[in-house]
Amino acid sequence: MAMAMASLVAARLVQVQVVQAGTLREEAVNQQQRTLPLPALRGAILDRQDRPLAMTVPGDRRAKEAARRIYPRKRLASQVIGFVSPDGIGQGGTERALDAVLHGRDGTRHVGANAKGYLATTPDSHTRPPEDGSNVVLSLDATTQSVLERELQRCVETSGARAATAVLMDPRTGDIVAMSTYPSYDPMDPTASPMEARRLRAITDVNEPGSTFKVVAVAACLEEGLVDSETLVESCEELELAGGHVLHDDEDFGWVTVEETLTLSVNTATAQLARKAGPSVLFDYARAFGFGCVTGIELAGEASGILRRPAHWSGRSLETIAIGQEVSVTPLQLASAYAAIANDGVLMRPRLIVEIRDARGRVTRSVRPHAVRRVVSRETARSLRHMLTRVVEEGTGTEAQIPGISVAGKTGTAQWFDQKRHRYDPNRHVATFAGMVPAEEPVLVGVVVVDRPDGIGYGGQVAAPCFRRIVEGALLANPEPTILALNTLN
Amino acid sequence: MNTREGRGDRILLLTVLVLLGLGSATVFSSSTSVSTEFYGSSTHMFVNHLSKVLFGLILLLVCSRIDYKLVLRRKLVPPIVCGAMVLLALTLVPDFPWAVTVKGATRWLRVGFMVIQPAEIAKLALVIYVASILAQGEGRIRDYKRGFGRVLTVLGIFAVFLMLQPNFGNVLSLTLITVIMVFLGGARLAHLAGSGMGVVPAIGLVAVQKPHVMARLNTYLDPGADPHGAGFQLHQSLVALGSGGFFGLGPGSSRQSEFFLPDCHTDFVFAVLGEEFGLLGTLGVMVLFGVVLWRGIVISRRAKDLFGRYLAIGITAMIGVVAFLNMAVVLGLAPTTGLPLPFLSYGGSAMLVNLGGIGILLSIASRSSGKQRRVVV
Repeated sequence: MAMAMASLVAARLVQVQVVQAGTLREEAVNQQQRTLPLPALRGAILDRQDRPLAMTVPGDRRAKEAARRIYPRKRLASQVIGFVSPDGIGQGGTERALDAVLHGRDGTRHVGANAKGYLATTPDSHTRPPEDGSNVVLSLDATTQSVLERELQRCVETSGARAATAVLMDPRTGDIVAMSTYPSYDPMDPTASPMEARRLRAITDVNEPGSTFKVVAVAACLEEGLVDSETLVESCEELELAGGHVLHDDEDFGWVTVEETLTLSVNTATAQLARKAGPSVLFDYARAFGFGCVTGIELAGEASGILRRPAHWSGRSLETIAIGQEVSVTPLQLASAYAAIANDGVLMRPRLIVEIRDARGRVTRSVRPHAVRRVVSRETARSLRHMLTRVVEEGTGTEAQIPGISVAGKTGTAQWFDQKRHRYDPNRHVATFAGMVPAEEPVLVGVVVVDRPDGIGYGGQVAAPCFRRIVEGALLANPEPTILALNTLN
Repeated sequence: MNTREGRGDRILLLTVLVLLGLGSATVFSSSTSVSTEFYGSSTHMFVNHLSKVLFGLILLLVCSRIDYKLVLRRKLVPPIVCGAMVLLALTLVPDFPWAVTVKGATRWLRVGFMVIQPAEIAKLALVIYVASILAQGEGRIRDYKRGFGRVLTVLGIFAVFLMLQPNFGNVLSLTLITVIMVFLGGARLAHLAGSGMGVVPAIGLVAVQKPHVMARLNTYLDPGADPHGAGFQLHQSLVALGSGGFFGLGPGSSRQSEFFLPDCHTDFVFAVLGEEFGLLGTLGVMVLFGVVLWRGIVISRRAKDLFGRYLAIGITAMIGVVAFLNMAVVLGLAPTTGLPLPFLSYGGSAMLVNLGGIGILLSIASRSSGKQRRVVV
C-alpha cells in the first residue's frame, strides 16, 4: 500500500513538473515579472541660434522624480512652441506637430516582482533602452521674438485692443523669425489661460485683410500690362455696384495714378483696376499670392481662409474683394504674400522647422527654403515695393517710418465680423499693417493685426506704429540685417 | 546492511541528516522574504529553524541513548498519554493565556520561550500508547474490551480535542497511524471495519459542519474554480513545482516564496523544494523518505521485544503518513490539511517530535538482536 501511494505521488510529480511544466512556468513568469516603461527623454526645441525654448530636465529614478519639461524663456513664443500635457503628449504648436519626433521611443525594463508588488532586479531582468527624442531647430530668433512680444503687449495696452498678432518673416527664405499673439500663456501652466491665448492665431484665425489686399489688384494689372504706376484711374466719392450697393471713399480724389491708389488707399480706384483685370485674373493673382490655401507650415490647425471662385461671386464681389472684403486671410498668409513682393515676386513656403537632430546630434532632417512659385515678375515686384514705400513716406502708413531706412508697407482697416451674431459690427475694427524693410532689398517682412482696438483704430494709427517698433527692435537686436538670413542654415 | 548491536542505524541517521540539510536550505530561501516582512531580518526565521534542528538533534541523541523499555518499566505510558491530553485540552480553554491562535485555529501553546503544538506531542504519545498495548501480544488487541476498545477510546479523546481546535489534518494522521499499527499488531478485521463504519461517518458529520473544511474539500474537488481565492494556495504550489521543471531553478532561486505561495516555508516547503531542485529534488526527497521507511521497517523487524517492534512501526508510520499527506496536499491530490513535511518544514514541535522519534528508532536499533524477525508488512 505504501508503494501504491508513493507511485501515485511520483506520477503526479512527473505530471506537474514535466508534463505541465511549460504552461506552469509561463504562468510563473507572468506573475513574477513586470514590464516597466523607461521613458525617453523628450527632445528640446531650439531657436535658430540653438538657444533652448523648450527642454526636458531628466528625472531621478532613485528619487522617483519624473522628468520635467521646462520652458527657459517662460512665455516666449509659447503659441509656436506649445506645451506638454501631464501625460507627456505634446499639445499645440511644435510640441504637438512634432510630438513623435520630440518624444522619441520609450524603452522597457523587465524586472522581478513579488506578490506584494515590490520590484527588484533579477537575473532575468533585461532592458530595452529608450531612444531619446530629437531636438528641433526652429527658424525663430529668440531675441527678435522677445522684441515682437513686448511691442504687441505695448500695442494692446495702449490701444485697448482685445489682442494683437504679428508675424515677422525673412522674405528670402520664408523663415518665420518671430510670431506671436498677445495675450499669450504660460506653457508651464497652460490651463491658467483661456483657449484664445493658447491658440497660434497667426495661422488659425482669419480676418478680412481690408486695404492690405489692394496690392493684389494692383499687382495683377501691372503684371498683365494693363497699367503702369503712372496710369490714371478715375475715382469718385461713391461708386455704384451691382445690386444697388455703393462703394465709398472718404473724399472725391478724382483722377489718381495707380501709385496714388495705394498711397491714399482709394477704394473706388482699386475697384476700377479690378474691373480692368476682370474676375478670373483677380482670382488667379489672389490665389497665386497664396490666399485661400494653407501655406503648408508644419503646424496643426492652419486655416486656409476664404477666397471663393468667381463662379460663386455675386455681382459686386469683384470690387469688394479687390478692396479686401468678402475674403479672409490669416496673418501668416498676408505676411507670406507680402514676402513674395519683397522677394522679387517669388512666393516662398513659410519655414518654421529648420532642422531636426537626433539625440546624438546627427542631423536627421534639414528643411531647405522652398520657392512655391513666381507670382509676379521682378519688375512688377520692384514697382509694387516702390509704391508701398510711398505709402509709408506720404500716404496712410507714415507711422511706420524709420529714420535712415526705407520702409514699404500698406495699412488696412476692416470691420470686425461677429462670429456669434454672424454679421459685421460697425463699431469694431481689425487694424492691419503689412510692411517690409529695407524697401530696396527687404530682409524683413512684418504683419501686425490688431483685434478690435478702441475707437476707429485705423491700421495706420494702431498697427503701423507697432510694426515700426517691432522692426526697429529687430534691427537693433541684429545690427547687420543680413545676418538674419544666417546663410549657414540655408 | 547489517548493523552491529549497540551501533544504532547509521543509514537512517545519515538519511535524516540529508533531509534536514535539504529542508534547511529550502527553508532558508523560502523564509527570507516573509522573515524580512515580519521580523525585519532575512535570516531571523532561518536561525530560528536551525535552533530547532539543533535542539531536535540533541533530543535525538538523548532518546537514542536512553533505553526505550524504560517507558514500560517505569510505567510512564499513562502519564505521557494524560500529559498530552492535558496539553491538548489547554488549547481549548477559552482565552487561555498561553494559547496562540493562527488563521482562526488555536493549535499552539506558548510555553516559556517556545511555542509548542500539543497535537504533535499527542501523535507520539498515541504511538507509545498503542505500542504498549500491542506489546502485550495479539491476545490483548484482539480483546475488544481490554485492547482494541481502549485504543479506540484514547484515539477518540485525542480526535475530539483536535476537532475542537480545529485540526482535521492531525485527526486524519492519528487515525491512519493507529489503523496501521493495530492492523500490523493483529487486530480483528471485524473490529477495524466495525469502528470504521461507526467513526468515519461521525467524523464526516462534524467536519461538514465546519465551513473551512467544506471550503477546502470544494477547492480540492474543483481547484480551478477560484484561482485567486480558495484555490490560490494550491495553484501557486503547482506553479512553483511546474516552474521548477526537471532540474529546478537552482538552490536559493525560488520566486514563488516572494509572497506568491502562502506557507511556503512550512506546509508547502515541498513545492519550493520542487521549484529550486526540480523533479530530481522532489523524487530525491521521496527516495530519502523511502529509505527512512525502509530502515524503520528493518529496525522494527530486528527489535528484540514486541514493544520495540511496534514502537518502531508506529514512529515509522507517523513519519510516513504525515509525509505522504503533506506531499499529496502540495500536489493537489488531497485537500489542504495543515500538516508539515517531516524534517523539512519550518516548525518547532513537529521537528522535535520527529527527531525524538528517530532517536527512539535509533535506540531500538542499537538494542536489537541483529536478527530479522518476521513482521507482516
